[in-house]
Formats: sequence, C-alpha cells, structure tokens
Amino acid sequence: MNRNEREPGRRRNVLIGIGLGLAVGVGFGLAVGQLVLGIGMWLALGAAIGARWDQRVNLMQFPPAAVRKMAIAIAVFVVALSVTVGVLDPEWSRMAQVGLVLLPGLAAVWVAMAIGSAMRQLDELQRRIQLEAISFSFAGTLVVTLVYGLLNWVGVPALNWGLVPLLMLLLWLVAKLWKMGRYR
Amino acid sequence: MKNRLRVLRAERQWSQARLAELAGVSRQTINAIETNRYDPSLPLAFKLAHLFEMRIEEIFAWHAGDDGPAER
Repeated sequence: MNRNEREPGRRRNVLIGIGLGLAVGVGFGLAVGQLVLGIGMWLALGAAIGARWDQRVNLMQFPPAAVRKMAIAIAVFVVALSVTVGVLDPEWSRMAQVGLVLLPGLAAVWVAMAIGSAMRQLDELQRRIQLEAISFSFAGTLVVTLVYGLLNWVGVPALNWGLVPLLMLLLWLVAKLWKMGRYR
Repeated sequence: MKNRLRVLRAERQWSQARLAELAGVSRQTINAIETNRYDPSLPLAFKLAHLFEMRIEEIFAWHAGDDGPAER
C-alpha cells in the first residue's frame, strides 16, 4: 500500500485518536481537577496514537495460547476489581477489608506473569521493541510523576495513584506503536 | 551492517513469510533485516547462514563506520 492510499485511513485514525483522547482527557482532567491539563495531554497522546495506528504492522505475533492466557488473567483482574469495589463494606473487620482489597492485587500478579510469559515467546526483534517501549514508559512515568509531585508544592492537586499505572500503560502503548513503525 | 538476504531469498524464490517460518522468526523481522533497519543476533545470523548453506560473511558484511542499523 503506498503512502497516498494510506492517507485517508490515517486522517480517520488521527480523528478517532483525538476523539478518544478528548474523552479520556475530560475524565482525567476532572479526576485531577485540571481539565485543561488533562485534555491537552490526552489530546496530544490520542492524536499521536491515531497517527501511528495505521502504520502499525502485525509485529507482535503472540501465540494464540498466550493471548488466551493474558485475556483470562485480565478478565479475572477486572472481575476481582469490580467485586472488591462493589462488595467492600466499611462495617467489616479491618482484616476482612484488607483481604478483599488485596484480591485484585493477586490477580494483577497473574496478569504480569501472563504478560511476561507471552513476551518470552516473541522473537528477538519483537522483544527488543517491547524492551524499548517499556524503558520509554518507565522513564516517561518517572518524569511525569516527579514533575507532577513538584507541582504539588505550588498548589496543583495531588495525583490519584490509580492514574499512575494507566499513564504507564498508555506510554507503553504509544512507544510500542512508534517503535513498530520504525522497524516495519 | 549490510546484507544480501533479499537477493539470496529471491534466488531461492522464497517469500519473506517462508524464510521467516524456516528461521523461526516473524516476517517483519526478516523485512527489518532486509531493509537494514535491524541487525540480527549472532544465533539468528548463523541460522540464516545455515538455511542458505553459506558462511555468515557471505551474507552479512560489516565495514568500518557501520555502527548499527539505519535509523528512521
């Protein structure tokens, strides 16, 4: 497919990315009380993902069994998280509350193990891309949280810790799409 | 590092997918090597040389100044 044939699809993907970024940005902005910051940041990331999306190639060829394992682990995590949020009762004993809250944590460990197992089944270029993407995500999260932490000193509201893993996942995705384009 | 993978593959009338299957890697990895965007590991280079029944240096050539794959 030549560049001209790709352009319409690319514009559409950029628009979809901007739309998703806008939606997430409003939510993020409301959550941290910084609507403009949230929308600006996520709009840019949404556009970046959209621009790169149609340049992605099916580079991550996880075996179907590994994909199933990851999907089941993620589903269990989502169910455990939903159950915890829905069932948690402040009237319960402290021990019972702590036990229930730790359930999604155990599921998250399973998710991490499933992802690690799937990564080991990738070929050397795919693993390199993942490593570069994870490094970028780690450094990006470090910088963003550090800067945001410093901004707390000048009155910016504290960041919800639950957003940090989301930011890390998002940066991972962006970096992966970027690197995939580089090696296509 | 430069390589003759594309030429050698064409001589044998192998598709990228076929070579990838034989080498146990993804088609995109073969494509990235052919376009000099990625330098394979030593084990993969040996495996490719074995598949083409050649020595590594007959497929891959390194010259002073070649310090990595072409960057985009």
